[in-house]
Amino acid sequence: MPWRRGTLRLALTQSNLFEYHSDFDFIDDATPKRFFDIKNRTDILLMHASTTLHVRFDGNWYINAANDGIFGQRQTLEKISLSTVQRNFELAAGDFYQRIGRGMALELTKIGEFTRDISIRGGRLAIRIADVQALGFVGFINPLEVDSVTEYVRDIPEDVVGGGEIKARLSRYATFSAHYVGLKQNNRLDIDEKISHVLGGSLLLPRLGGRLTIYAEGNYLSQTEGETATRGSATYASATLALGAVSLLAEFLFLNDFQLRNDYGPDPNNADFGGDHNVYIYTRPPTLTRSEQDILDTKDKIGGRIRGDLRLGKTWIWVSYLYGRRSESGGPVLEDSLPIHDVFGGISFQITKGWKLFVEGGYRFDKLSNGNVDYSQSFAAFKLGGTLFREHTLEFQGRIRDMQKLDNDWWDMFLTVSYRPSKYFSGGLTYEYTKEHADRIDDPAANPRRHFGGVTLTANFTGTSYLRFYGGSTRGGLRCVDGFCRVFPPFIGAKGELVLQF
Amino acid sequence: MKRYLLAIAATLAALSSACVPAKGGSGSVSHLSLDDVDGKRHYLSDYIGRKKAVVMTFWATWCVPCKDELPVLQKIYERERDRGLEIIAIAMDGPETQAQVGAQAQQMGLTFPVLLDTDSRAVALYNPKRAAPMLRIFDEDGRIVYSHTTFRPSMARKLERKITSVLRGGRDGDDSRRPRRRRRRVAQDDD
Repeated sequence: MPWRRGTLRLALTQSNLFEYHSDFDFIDDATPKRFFDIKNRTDILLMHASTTLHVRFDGNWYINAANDGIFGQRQTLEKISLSTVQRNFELAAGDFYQRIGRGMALELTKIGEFTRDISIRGGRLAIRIADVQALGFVGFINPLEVDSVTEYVRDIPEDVVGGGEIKARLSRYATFSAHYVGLKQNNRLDIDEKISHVLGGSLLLPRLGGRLTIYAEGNYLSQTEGETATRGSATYASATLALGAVSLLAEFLFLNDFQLRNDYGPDPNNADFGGDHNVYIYTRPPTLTRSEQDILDTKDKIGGRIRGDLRLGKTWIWVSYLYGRRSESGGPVLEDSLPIHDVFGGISFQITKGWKLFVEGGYRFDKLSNGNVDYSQSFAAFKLGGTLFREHTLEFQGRIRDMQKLDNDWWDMFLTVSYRPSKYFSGGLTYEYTKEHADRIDDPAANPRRHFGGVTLTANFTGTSYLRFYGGSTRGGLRCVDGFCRVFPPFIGAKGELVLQF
Repeated sequence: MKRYLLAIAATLAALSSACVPAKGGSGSVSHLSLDDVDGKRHYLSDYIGRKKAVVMTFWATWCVPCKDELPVLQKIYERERDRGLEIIAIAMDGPETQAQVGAQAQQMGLTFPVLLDTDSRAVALYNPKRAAPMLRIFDEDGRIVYSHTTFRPSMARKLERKITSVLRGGRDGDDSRRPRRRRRRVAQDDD
């Protein structure tokens, strides 16, 4: 629990990770790299009345790492901010996160402690009068210095971002907002600096007739780089109809050459999970698709989807269908595009008292104009969990996928079993299989890894502090195990994670 | 740089001391405001430190255990609301799933505020590891007296007991009948 005296409150989140990598970067490099590393994340919050001081120190120590210039012993003050939040205004100096609209104009947030975390280091002021809020901000883009997925030290962009938003709740049935975002990108490759302007607005009409919620947002993008000027636009609309146990969602998205990004890293079209550490994308529009698609999003696409959800007591049933088009060769989507079909559905229900089953399946394919498949994925996933007796719980979770990306096709699967004998201890076994790497590593003698497995043991001290040991290998990705969801980086070796929250 | 930071600190401290703290002993509670799914603004300081017990739960539409926990909280809320319980559900959904938040809340029949933490400000204060689900209980003095970062249906009864205990000022009817040693252990768990 946070320490507190009078109006002073101190909250500390201390995360330590001790890792031994027995084959680092195994996805891209067939030669094993072995080393130890220790990572420290210290997050301190000191609150007095309505003023908050937030500091985050990161430490990365690598022992016996083959240092080819990409790793670094880093002890950095990653985040620092001082802010005051009052009823009529907020003022912040230092690091802060910002999303404008549905992430189309700007989305700089923290996804996770050891994953994506990009803030703005500068100043932010929000003033509220009645149902009107005016917001202004300016600062430098500030991502974490070490990419937690690849362990590489990043090339920090020198981009400056600023903007503002006016939001007015006109009545309980209408909220209107208008926004502006400007981005100045300094050149690192001796090319012309890039200036971007985004102008947009949104309208929220909630609970019309008590059942229908409509949201619409439009954005216009103007970019200049030397003599070159480009224009783009982004439109998103959603309508949600709630009919008691049933809800229907319809969404529409149109992106026309619309994205704010740092262009001076590696080509993002060639980047994969392990190689995009210098690519910074500052916008994150709704995708209309599931998050686990393993496909890079594009700045040119158009589409719509409809999703239906039915809840009957403890049973949930859902189904979603998307039809869209995305740019085939990087050009405008209305002139040069390939069709996307994405359908998925699932059910979650209670089998017996204390035991629940979750099943989901789906299929997506993106077809090239020559008839070949550019991308396809079919998947089936399940989760079965329940109580054996008293506090003893057992959970099984798994997924199988059949994937195709251009000429590469493979299938992969994972299965997890976790057992919790008491609230203090839990353990789990994970097995994964993939055929993907056989197609991705050029060297046929590389003996690509197909089997992955690991053991997890966790000791919970309190509801939020724990010690976790992991040994084995994992491919990484979003995992929700035993009620806890995180994005795991790919890993082979052993590690201990100590998290203490006071 | 140092002078710049000192000036900012002094300005913020002055602003902070000039403002009246929230009532009910919640002087250290932030006035952080979040919009709900209907666009209405809610101030955390209107709940924390003003109600006998406030449950703050972080969830997301893609989080399966969260959808087990929220209906449980709704039942407790219906039973204990008149005794001073308030529940705040804070959705951490990104832009790709934000449109589903309101619909799923309505489907679950949630009548307590469902807020959107679009700028990660509530997360930074109360859930820095972005766990889902992540639940915290505040007592009437605005102190966090219980936290957990997971939910299984078997935990429902314990959660209800804990909320009832906080509503009664830390004395739970069930716990009070237990031997003293057992009660001390329960309190230690939650610290």
